[in-house]
Amino acid sequence: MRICQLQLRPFRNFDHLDLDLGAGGALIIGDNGRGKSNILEAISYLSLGKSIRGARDQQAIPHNGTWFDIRGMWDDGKRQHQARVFYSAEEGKRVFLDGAPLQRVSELVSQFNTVHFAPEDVALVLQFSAQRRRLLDILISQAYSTYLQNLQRYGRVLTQRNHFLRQLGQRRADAAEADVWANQLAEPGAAIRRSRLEALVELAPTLTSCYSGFSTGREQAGIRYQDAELPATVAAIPSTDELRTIFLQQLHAEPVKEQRAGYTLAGPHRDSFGFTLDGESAETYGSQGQLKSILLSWKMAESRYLETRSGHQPVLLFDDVFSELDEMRAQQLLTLAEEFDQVILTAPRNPGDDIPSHYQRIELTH
Amino acid sequence: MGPQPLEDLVTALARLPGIGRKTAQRLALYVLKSPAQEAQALAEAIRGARENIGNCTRCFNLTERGQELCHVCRDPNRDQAVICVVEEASDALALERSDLLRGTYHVLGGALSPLDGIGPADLRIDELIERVRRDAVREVILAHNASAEGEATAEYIHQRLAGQTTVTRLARGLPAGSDLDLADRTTLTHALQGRTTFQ
Ligand SMILES: [Zn+2]
Repeated sequence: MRICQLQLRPFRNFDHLDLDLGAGGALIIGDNGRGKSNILEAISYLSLGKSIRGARDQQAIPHNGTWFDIRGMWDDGKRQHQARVFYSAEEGKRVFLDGAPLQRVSELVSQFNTVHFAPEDVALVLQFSAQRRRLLDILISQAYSTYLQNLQRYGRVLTQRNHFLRQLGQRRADAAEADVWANQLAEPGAAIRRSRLEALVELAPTLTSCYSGFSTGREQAGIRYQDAELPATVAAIPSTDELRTIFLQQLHAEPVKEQRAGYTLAGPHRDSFGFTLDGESAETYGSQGQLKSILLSWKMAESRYLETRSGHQPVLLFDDVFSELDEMRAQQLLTLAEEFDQVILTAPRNPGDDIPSHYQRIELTH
Repeated sequence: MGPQPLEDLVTALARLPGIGRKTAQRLALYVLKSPAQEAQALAEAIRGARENIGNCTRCFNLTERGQELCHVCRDPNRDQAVICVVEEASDALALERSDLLRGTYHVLGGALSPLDGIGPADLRIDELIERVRRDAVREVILAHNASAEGEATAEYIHQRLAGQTTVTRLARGLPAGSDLDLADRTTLTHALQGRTTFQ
């Protein structure tokens, strides 16, 4: 896929921006504060319907404004598509695909795929388990629209079940109702775990091989889910029915503790997913350099995964990677990125010959 | 800020579902501009509806005051041994408009939602179970919304009715998360004809 046009009217610091991204890669150059990252964020809005940085929609409205409006056009190799994401506090969020309004924002997701990488991801993602889950959820949602539906259903039932747990002491206990909220949670919960395991089993070999390219050492990178080794193959993953049974056992395991806590203690919303180096937790034992290599490898694995699942290469959005990466990793990343349809990079100043000349230079001057 | 009586009207209208502040303002100004009799008639219609419509004592659907039973429950041609369970009277209205059901209704008055403090005791579930026992009901059709709350309510009722009668559910013709009362006739026909035993 290639994004050819982007219009912001307005978005964050841009009152009015028209970008023609042409056919291939682009390098957006501008001093800090000019809004390089905001452009990449706007592009990923078109693929996720929300901020990749986890910002609330309200935060993307310019200070003196009351709405933001992002339009973009991309080419999937067969035809061109247009999407628009509009938000105002008054009207809420509205999304359009090829001119037609969509009922739900989630319908936009999985139309136009992007992989976003920013230097702050290294600290953020590797420090917080919730951030890693978010990373994985955004990825799988782009590949399967049913995954996002399951996540939304799960989130809704989880809220209901947590309220139910909190009310247990106050009203007449109803065993049938307790069963119902557990069963309703187990249904999407098992599907989410199954999809995550499938995705991770598929991503792991790419991560491992990319890592050995980035790393100077001999250590091997891998992935663990729920503090356990991943199944070796997709065939070895428990079925959704089995996962459902396992999850229900977890939900029924500690009723007293759950009631006291007032929230659901086990489930996909608390599952840990992380990286390993020679089998040990990378988040705990890895050096800064190793962690950067892991995240870059993960991003390449994400890109390959989306390509395989959707049949289209995602657009790669790399935010200011060169200020954070050493020469060797940066060059290796560029080489790997050459295999993709379109890469959009940002940098504070023109890096000169370090970046191939076929990257269209776009300077943000005012 | 307009004159206080206008503000009061806007505030009252804005409390209606689906009406934002802007729309409420437009409606209020329209009412003020329209002839006095027209506005009077609207007020009367609201008062009349409020005073003269009550709930059927059997199915809790809407009925004219003074009538203990609604027109469906009174109709000898309707099959009293088949009950279609809906969340709201608006759902029964939608099904009734489509003219598809030969049985009767049971209006729960909502769906399970701990978030809103709604538990089984707040819905007319005991009344449903009582009806099933008393009237030798053959089939209970669960026509719930496709929301998380609708699904949970359906499962709960199914558990409570287990072994007492056949429980079916509408076919999944309704898109996930959608509301029954907004579905069109074709969708409802497919949903009713394709209903399946609840598992
Ligand atoms: Zn009735």
